[in-house]
Amino acid sequence: MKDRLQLTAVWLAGLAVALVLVEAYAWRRDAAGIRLLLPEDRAGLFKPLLALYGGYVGGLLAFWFVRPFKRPRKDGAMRMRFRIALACTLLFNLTILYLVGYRHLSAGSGGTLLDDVRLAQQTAVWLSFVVAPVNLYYFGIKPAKSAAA
Amino acid sequence: MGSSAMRSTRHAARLVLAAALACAACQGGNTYRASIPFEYPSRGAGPHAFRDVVVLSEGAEARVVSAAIVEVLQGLQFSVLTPPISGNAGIAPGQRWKTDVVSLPHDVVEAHNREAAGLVLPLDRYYSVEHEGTFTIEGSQIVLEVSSTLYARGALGSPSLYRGEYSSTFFGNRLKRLIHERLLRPRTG
Repeated sequence: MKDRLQLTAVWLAGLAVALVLVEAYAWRRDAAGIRLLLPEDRAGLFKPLLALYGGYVGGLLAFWFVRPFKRPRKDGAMRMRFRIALACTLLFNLTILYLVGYRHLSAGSGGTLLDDVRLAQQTAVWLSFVVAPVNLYYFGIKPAKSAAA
Repeated sequence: MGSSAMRSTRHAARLVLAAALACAACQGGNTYRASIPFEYPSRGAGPHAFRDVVVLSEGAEARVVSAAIVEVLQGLQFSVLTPPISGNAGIAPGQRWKTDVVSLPHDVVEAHNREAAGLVLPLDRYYSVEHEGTFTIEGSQIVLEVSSTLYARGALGSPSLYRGEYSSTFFGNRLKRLIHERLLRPRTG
């Protein structure tokens, strides 16, 4: 239960930080006084970002209520398994946040923010293999009877 | 009951008509129309050259005006997308021409804000513009119609349609002034 809560918190924090990073672009200006992102263009970035996280976070939240898969009989090494799960989830989220937010560190590297968010979306698809088994195990498998009772 | 239904149908028809007229007005609202007077060489004051008057040879008006429009647009870094400009093919009178979208230099935005008081463009964004229009020859007048569409973007954004107010007259007038100046200059080559 605690493990699942921690993993859910990482995902929700990742989503919140990604939205804040985009919002911050609309408040910042470059050396010439030009806004990095026009306020009216924020929605165009929020949409793909919410689509990116929506697939994962939506699944996790749904699995809080429905557990479709049976628990395997032998279920040892819980601590190590959780560390791996946390590392995979952090790797995924930090990669996405870096791709969305690196322009705060160096704005002048060509391209647009929309290109960055699209790259983040594509990277999320490529990195799915890192988080898919973790999410399936922690969120999709029915809890042990003693824990559920 | 029947007359009530007819009344509401008539009311709905009036509303649709009003909406259609309002829409037509807003679409035509950003069209700038201006004319440049010209003379034929045979109708001037004796053998002396005209001063500040555009002189066009009879029969060559459309070709010269078309070339002037294309030269002015290309001088401002625009490409004429339609009609395709190549060799002797230019813009025919009444034919609609359209450019690509080109960034506006900062000094042009500042000039817009000076000249179009009350329609100030915020200086916190980059602007770009596309033009489309037509020209016709009516008697001794070159009639220009120009529509200008403004786009805006942040430093890390992509251009999107600018939804604030701006002066189409400023951009149309800028083009008209440059075309007029080009027509006053003797053609070389």
